[in-house]
Amino acid sequence: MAAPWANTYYACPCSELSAAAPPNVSNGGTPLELPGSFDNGEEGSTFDPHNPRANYSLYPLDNLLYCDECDAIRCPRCWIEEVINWYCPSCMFEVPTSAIKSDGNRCSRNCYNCPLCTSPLTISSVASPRPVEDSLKPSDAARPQESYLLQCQYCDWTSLDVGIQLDRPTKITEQLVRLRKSKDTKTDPISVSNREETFNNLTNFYKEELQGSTESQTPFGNSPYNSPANLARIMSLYGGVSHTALKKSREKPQPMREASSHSQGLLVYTADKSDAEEEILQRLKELGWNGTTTGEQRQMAPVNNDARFLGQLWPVATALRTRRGRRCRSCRQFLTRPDPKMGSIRYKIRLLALNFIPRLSLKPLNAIPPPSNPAFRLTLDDSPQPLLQPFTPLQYVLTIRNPIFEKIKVSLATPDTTPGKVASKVTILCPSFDVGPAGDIWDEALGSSTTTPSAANDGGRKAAMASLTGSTTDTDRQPEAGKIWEKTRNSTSVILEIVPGSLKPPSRIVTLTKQEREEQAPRQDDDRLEIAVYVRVQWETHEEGPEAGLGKRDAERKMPSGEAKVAKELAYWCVLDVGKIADV
Amino acid sequence: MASTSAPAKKPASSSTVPAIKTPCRIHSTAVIADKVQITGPHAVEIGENAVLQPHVKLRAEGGKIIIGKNTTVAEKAIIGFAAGQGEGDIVIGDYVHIDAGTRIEASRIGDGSSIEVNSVIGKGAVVGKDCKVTALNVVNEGEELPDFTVVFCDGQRRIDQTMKDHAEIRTAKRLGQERTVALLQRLIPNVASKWL
Ligand SMILES: [Zn+2]
Ligand SMILES: [Zn+2]
Ligand SMILES: [Zn+2]
Ligand SMILES: [Zn+2]
Repeated sequence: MAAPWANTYYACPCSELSAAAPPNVSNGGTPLELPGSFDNGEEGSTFDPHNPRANYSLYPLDNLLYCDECDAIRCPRCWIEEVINWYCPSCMFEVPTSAIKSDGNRCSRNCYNCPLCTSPLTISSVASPRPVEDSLKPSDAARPQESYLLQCQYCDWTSLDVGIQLDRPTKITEQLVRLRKSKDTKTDPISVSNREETFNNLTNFYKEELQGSTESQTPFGNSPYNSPANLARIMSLYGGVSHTALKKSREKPQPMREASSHSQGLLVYTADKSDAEEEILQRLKELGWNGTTTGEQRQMAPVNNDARFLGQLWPVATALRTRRGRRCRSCRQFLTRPDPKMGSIRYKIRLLALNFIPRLSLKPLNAIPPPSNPAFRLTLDDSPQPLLQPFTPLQYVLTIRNPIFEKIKVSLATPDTTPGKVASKVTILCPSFDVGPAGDIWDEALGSSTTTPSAANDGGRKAAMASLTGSTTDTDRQPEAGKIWEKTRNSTSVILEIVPGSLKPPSRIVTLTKQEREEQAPRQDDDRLEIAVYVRVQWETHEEGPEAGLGKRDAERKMPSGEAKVAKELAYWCVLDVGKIADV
Repeated sequence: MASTSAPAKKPASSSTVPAIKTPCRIHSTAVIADKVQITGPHAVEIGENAVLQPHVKLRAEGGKIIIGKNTTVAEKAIIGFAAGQGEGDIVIGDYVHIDAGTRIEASRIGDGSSIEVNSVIGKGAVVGKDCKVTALNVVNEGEELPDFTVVFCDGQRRIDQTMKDHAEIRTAKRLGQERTVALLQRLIPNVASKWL
């Protein structure tokens, strides 16, 4: 029953809920005396992890970014995504944005997907049948020597299912467009063959109509304003009303002719399609439910929107994908930006929060080490997390690891009792301390992993024994108030004392009203002991350029003496999920 | 694991049944890799140019197993029932491709079918000719798949019209299978003699 490490969530300060700092956090971080009730938006209120809105500002550290211009944590709510480039996932060809606007978001080269199962289609050649077979099939006599087809390697759908056979293995798109046109004329010669023509007629007709009505009405005969485009530009310059809207408001609506014949683009619906519908019903009976297309298949491409039966599905051109960068919402600098080289999965810019803000981790003081390294565990450990017993004091080690190359000063603050229904007592024994700078990754690996002030430094033998036997030499050490528990080069651990509260409301003599009872009924996750800790980090850094410090936020100010050192500060709420409280 | 290095006299250390040598009829052109296990008291017939890759298990515990011409069975495929788990002959046709990790308890698999990675063909099922069961799919016990059926996605079934209508595509598929066989014959050391 190894107590697992507690999960830690970080609140992005961009929301009102998580931006509020406790009022007296700066005075060294003694556990705060705060009202138990949480009033949202009030200055100096504490962060309540049980607040329904808290879910929207808490993230694991790995999901956050950091803006080094604004010196702030950035979450999905305070970054903006931007499409850097479009590419085809199949041929990895980058498509310029201008081409997207004109040709749409599908690969226009030779990439197609299976209309049944969406996997990519391959082009394969079919050897032309032998002459013997040819004589048996006179209709195929005119077939070229070699023909090609699109084939799905997964479900074996081939373009032959819809009668597509290609002459060349290149320029698939062109060939398909041609085939589609000829197919349309074959299946529905009256309306579909001239669908485009009809549409052109219709647009031409209405364009002419519009032209006619505007030309006769132009009010300024010889002025430079006679061109409608000029006028529109000027009107838009002076704001508000558009050219056409203004015109409309000034003029009486001119009666406009409607298309009335086929040459003008009118296509009259004829009801004598009963044959076709009868045929559809007949086919439906034959093919059954399995022969019809699913909504997904129809929506996959515009070409298949009207396909009723599987046999009508056309190959789907591969949809393009995007690669996106993320920008800070306030200063617009890139927080992540993929490598412009297509096919590379690296990032050119990647400002991860875990490289900038200290990581907090909480584990029980007398934790039994897990039987094996969890990274190598093959099956999920199903043993339930042990429940926390109410009113039993527990001691936890809270470790703060510093990712930056400067020494940081950390102050922690947490409300005395956790807000919400279940009031648990929390005490940080040493709320204010320093954490050393991070170094090279190799320093960390080669240096001793933990250097407790009492044990590890006093000679090799004892420490070596300790590491061999796996037992700590200082089991009799007691946590003391105001003392650091453990310190390594870039991490510091302190002790956190927790007394879980009871899930049951305190017993009362007075019977409660119904409303009061409802208010006191435990909601979901009320039994989770979650501790909100306000972390304030201060450090000094050398300013990169002379103007870099100017016009920055008030969080940093120039140091008066000597070289340009800038004091920086970062503060955020952090939620430690300790576990579930037993209901006794 | 012990059985892999065991000599031919002890094909599988089945604890319950005393090791009886399975009566095998293996065509001289068939390839049987080392580490193939053939167990059970019933007859096993392996046809012309058939290839059994390493770690294939043929369990003739509940009935005969017949494997046709130019059929390939890939690694870790299990054909047949474990002792006491079922009865019935298993007939696998010609030009069948059985992929790695499959479990085949069907009573018949038709010519030219392919059974892909880790799929399961239940007891007594009949798979028709030129069918395809894609990876991780299941053909239920006693189910009959008509010829040219494709089982794909999450158990969807459809008839492969192209395969049905075009003999030249079927021919091309057979040709492909023949080439696969030729390649495997070159790559896999044959120890068929140990089963004769
Ligand atoms: Zn945010
Ligand atoms: Zn493409
Ligand atoms: Zn497919
Ligand atoms: Zn920024």
